[in-house]
This record gives sequence, structure tokens and C-alpha cells, in this order.
Amino acid sequence: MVRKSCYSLLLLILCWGTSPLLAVNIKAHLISDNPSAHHPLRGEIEITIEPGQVIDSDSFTIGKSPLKVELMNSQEYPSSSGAPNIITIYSFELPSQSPGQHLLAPIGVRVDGRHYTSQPEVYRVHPTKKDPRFLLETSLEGPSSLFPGQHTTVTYQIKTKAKIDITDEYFPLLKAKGFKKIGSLKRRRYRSADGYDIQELSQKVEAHKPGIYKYESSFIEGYIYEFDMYEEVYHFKPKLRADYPPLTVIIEKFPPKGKPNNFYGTIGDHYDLQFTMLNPQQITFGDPIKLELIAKGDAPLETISIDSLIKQPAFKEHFKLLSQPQSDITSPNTRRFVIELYPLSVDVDSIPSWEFSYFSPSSHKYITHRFPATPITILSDDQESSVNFSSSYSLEDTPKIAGNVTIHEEDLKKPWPLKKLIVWTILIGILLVLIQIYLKYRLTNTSTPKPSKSSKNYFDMARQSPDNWAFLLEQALMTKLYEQGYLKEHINNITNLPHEGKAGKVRLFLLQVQEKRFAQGHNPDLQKIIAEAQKLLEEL
Amino acid sequence: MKKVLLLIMLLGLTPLAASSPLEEGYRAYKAAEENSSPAIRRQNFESALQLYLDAQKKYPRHEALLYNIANCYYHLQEYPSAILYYYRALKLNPRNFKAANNLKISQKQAGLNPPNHKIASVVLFFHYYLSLSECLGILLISAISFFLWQSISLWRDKKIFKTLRNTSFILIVIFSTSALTSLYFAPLQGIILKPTTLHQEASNDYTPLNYKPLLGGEKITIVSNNSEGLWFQVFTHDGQKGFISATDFEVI
Repeated sequence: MVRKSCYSLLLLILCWGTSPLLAVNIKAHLISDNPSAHHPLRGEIEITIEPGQVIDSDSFTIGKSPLKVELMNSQEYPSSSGAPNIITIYSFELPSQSPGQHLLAPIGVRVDGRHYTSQPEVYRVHPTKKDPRFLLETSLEGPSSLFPGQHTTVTYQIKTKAKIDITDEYFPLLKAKGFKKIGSLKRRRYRSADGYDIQELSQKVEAHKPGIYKYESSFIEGYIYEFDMYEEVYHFKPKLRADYPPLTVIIEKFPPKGKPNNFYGTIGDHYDLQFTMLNPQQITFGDPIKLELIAKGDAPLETISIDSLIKQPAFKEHFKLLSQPQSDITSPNTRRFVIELYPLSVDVDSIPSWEFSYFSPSSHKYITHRFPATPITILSDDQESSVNFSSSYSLEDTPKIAGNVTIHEEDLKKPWPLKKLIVWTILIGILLVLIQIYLKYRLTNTSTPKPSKSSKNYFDMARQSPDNWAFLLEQALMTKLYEQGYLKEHINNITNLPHEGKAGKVRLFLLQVQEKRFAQGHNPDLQKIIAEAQKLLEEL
Repeated sequence: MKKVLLLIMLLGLTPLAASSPLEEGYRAYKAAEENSSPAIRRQNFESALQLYLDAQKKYPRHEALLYNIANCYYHLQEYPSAILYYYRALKLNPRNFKAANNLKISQKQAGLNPPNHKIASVVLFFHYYLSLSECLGILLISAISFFLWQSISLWRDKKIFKTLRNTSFILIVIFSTSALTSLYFAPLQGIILKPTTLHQEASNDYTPLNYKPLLGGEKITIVSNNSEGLWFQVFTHDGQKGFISATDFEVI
């Protein structure tokens, strides 16, 4: 009983000792040391968890309202006890607050299903003040309505008439939503005629995606400062602020009315175009053709596209590009394209005519320039002269060939399934041959039984039997022939013996014996016959 | 009585009046050949071709039909297609000398050099000058002959039967090798229908291997195709290996 109580106490102590290590720790604070009025407040949430614990990032709340957060970082660190901890940092943004003291409400989050909250925190929002010594101006070159491909420059001017330490700035136009940035951000400083020190930030951009883009108001904030007698910076409060009202920019779609099929987004009010073939008009088949397009104009040269040439069906059918067209801007208002291609057939007789279309933003009209077909002559390898098989060659010029043959429906019978027939013939043939081999084997075995006695037995019996010696002698010799393999099967009758070879010799001997036996008035000499037969047997 | 006679005459004429599409095709072809106006010629050749192509859907492997289609393509100056169909006709009957001659003319018209005869085609004449169905026919006869003489020589042990049996067996070996080669081991061949270039890899993004394109009507040997079947690795007649799009050629 006492031991049980001790264990329980030990377990309680252990649980109590490790409980701070297991607890989820959540801290929230604002990033800015001196948050000021009129601009959003940014903050961070730091959550310490153990490996394996899961933070539900959709469960963040501030007070009782949901809070949108963004994951900044998550890393594993060893804790003071040596056990690993994971520290995850989220950022959040709160709307701008009026000057004065405020409370950062507890921020809550769910970790492994349990809800944890941070401690509330007090912060102060400092007032800002407009001052004629601190101004912000924003400009967008040209019209506020643009077409895709058109270029413009966004400029911010920070105008000051005092030493100002800028603490915060917000320039949404430099993010260039809906635009593509061209080149890097340019900065310059100068003094204006009215006595302002101007810091200018400018970015060249290209209208990209059609739409209406509303940019929030831009602002800068900072303190006027002076150096004190100890050469240290002294900030004069309150903080100064300069705003520029929100801006709306429209990127328009190209008007569908009158839009040519070969329009590929080239924009400009006027282009001087020159299209030439750089190689001789007569080329050998297999040699590449070099074409050059020079476009001169004030409009954005980057938008010039020669897709209307290389994507037209007549071009794709007869030519193949050697590589992607090369282009360079040779002077501020001139762009040069070089297209290398080769003809796909000796029949090709021209570079097809093509049209180059562009859109004029000032007149809101499409302008099309047509290039005529460029004749070319392609010689095949074995042709010295300019003989080619051009499409102009008429049907009548075709050399004569053997003409068509008459076909009747009955000629179109389906052919025999020969492959199947062969397979079945082979299978059936093998089967039939096997059956025949088996039949022959069976017949041989039943018609010619093996001799019951050996040749030696028959011969001994012949010598001892004066009445039946002739039959026994025949059997002895024929059995011997069978035993020695001269006969494939055992034969009982002399007449069935072959005429040639050893069997023929035996046949002859036995016929002579028969002659002697049946000769009139002649008694055969049995001993002599037996001796001859023995000699023959030994020979076999 | 007159009415009966008239009826019999009409019935007798009916089969003559209703001609088959093949006969119509032949008539259109002949009309095109005999006409001097290029526009009418083209129109007639086109209608003959259409009739033959319709018939080919039903009978895809008929030598005379393929030959007639090739001739129509030839007159319409679609030489790559003509070459393809001449090759197809020759595959069914390599001794179709009309098709062979027309093929040479078509190849010249397409700017190609007709290939030379190989020594192998003389030595292995049975493989090159007999069609697959002829090879199979001889193989079938040889097989029947072999089993016949084998059966006879089983029962009658005579030299002549054994000689005939062995001869049949040699024929079986020769023609089965030829047929199996044609059926399973010979590489597939195709004809370029649209001039194209050989690529290093199975994509248009890769640069061509050669500036000089493969001409329409050129014969290629197919090595393999990629998993999607959109590109094929091929050998050209001059031994170059590369990839071409499946849309640029057709298998003979």
C-alpha cells in the first residue's frame, strides 16, 4: 500500500516537472516599435511546440475574430532541457489605428485540437502630421488608359525642405500589378528650382494584362532631425506623413472590331518596314534561306512579332525554321529580325506574301502592311539548270504511265487464310504421321512374333533330329539372321528372305538344301549339310 | 407476247446498266485520261480515286486496287501518296512490273533517285520476287507434300519417296524462313508523305539533324516509336537515324 502511494507520488512529481516542457507557448507582438496612425500595423506570432504537434493555421483568432496569418518560418531548436522544440513564426496585419493607446487582444490558435492564447499586450499609436516641408508626388507617364504592350514609367518623388529621417514608406505602384517591369528601379537626387531636395524613384513598366487596377494611396513617414552638440541625431516629434491619393490605371483589351487575323500584339503608331532576302534568289536544295525584317518606329519595339510570317499555313507547309528568329535592337528606334529557314521541297518557288499588322493606340486602329511574295529558285542536287517541279506544272505534263486495270467485284474475294491453313496442315500432318508410325509398330509386333528359341537351340535340335532337321536348320539360320540384325523382323519362310547380302546367301544355301532333299534318287549327306550350315552360322 | 419479250429484254439489260463502283472508277479514270482539259481531268481522277478509296476500305489488301489508287494519285501529282500505294501493290505482288515501272517514274517526278537492285534480291529471289501469300501458298503445298511422301515412305521403303520427302522438307525450311522473316522479323518500312526533317529527339523543340529535309516519297525504315506513338525513330535510305513525327509518313 505504501509502495503504491510512493509510485503515485513519483509519477505526479514527474508529470509536474515536465509539464512546462510539454506546454505550447504562444507569444504575439507588433513588429514596429513606433506604430503610427494611418497605416496598417504588422505583427508576429511565435509558437513553440514539440515535434509531432500540429498547429491548425486556419484557427488563428484575435479576440473573438478570425485572424489571417502568413507562415514566416518554422525551425527546430534544442530546449533548455535538451529536448527538441519547434518554433514557428507567423506574421499578421491589423488595420490602421487612431493615435493613442491600444490593446493587442489575445491571439488564439488550436494545436493538436487544444486551444492556446497569447498574453494581451499594450501598444501606442503615435500621431502623424502633414507638413509642407515633406511631400510625396506620384506620376504615371502618358495616359491612364493603356493597351497591352504599351510602356509607361511610374515615378515617385519625395520632396523635402528639411533633414528628414524616413521611417516608413509605401509605394504600391512599384509592385506593378498588371504590368511587367522593364529594367531595374532607377534613383536620382536633385534640387528643384523651388528649393526642394527631391529623391526620385522611377520604374519603366509594360502594360501586360487587361483590367482595371486600383492602387492604394502611397505614403511616406519620417521625423525631422538635427544633430545636437554631441553630433548625435535628435528627432523632432511628431512624426510627419505625406500621402498621395489612390490611383486607377486601366489596361484595355485590343478592340475586336477590325482586328486582323495576323495581329500578334505589335503596338505602335507608325512603323517603317523593310523585308529582304539576304541570299541570292537561286539556291541549291538543302541550303538555308536568310530573310531580314527591319522595323523602324517610336513605339515599343519589343512588341514587334513576326509570327504572322512564320505561323501562316503557306509558310509552315513549305519551309522549316532552322532556329528561332534572331532579333536585336540596332538603334533606339530600329529592330532587326533575321530568320533562317530552309525549303522542304524543290517545288517551292517563292517566299509567300505575308501581312504585318500593328495597333495604333493613338488612332485606336489596326494598320496592316503587306509584303509581296519573293520568288526563289531551288535547284536539286543533281540539277545544274533551274528545272523544278513547281506547282505551276499542269496535269498534261505528267509523263505517261501504265494505266489502270479493270477490277470486278468477283475479283475482290478475300484471300484464303493461308497462315491458319498452314498451321492446321502441319498439326494434322504430324498427327497423321504419328498415327501411321504407331499403326506400323502395332502391325509389326502382332504379325511377327519374336522367335521362341535361339538359333543355337534350333541348330542343336536339328543335329539331333533326323526327321525334322531341315525345318530346324531353316529356323536356326533365319533366327541367326534376325539375331544379328540382318533382318528387321523374324521371317519363317525362305521365300520371304531378301536376295542380297547375308540373308541372300542364307536363302541360296537353304534353297540348295531343299533341292538336295527333293532330288529324285538322291539321299542328301546330312553330316555334310550340317557342317556347311554350322560354317554359315559362324560366318553370320 | 411482245410485252413478255420486252420484259425479258429489260431484265437482261439490268445487270449491264447497274455497274459497280469499281467499274465507275475505271470509267472515270479512262475519261480523265482521254480528256484534254486539265480541270476535267483532275475532276475525273479525283472521283476515280474516291471510288477506289471507298472500295479499299472494304478490301484493304487487293493488289490491283492499290495499283489503281496509286495511278490516280500519280495523275493528281500527289507523288508521295502514289509512291506509297505502288509500294503497297508491289508488296502484294513483287512481280507487278507495271507498278514497278510507274513507281520509278513517280520517284523521278518527286525528285528522288529510284533505289538500285541489291545483290541479295538476286540470291534470295524467292524472298524478293514472291509475295508473302505466294510464299505461304508454296509452304502449304510443301507441307502437304512432305506429309504425303513421309506417309508413303513409312509403308514403302523406296529411295524415290525419301528423296521427294526430303525435297519437300527443304522447301518447307526455305519458305517458312522467308515467310517468318516477312511476317515477324523484317523491319517496318514507311513512305514520307510530307517533307520533314530528322530530329535528334522525339520533339519539334530539338534542332534538326540535317538541314536537308526528307522529301515526300522517300522510303524510311522504322526502328521504334515513343510511348505515345507520336514520334518514330527511323533510318533513312542513306543510313541516318533520327526521329520524325507520326503525321509525316505512312507505313507501307
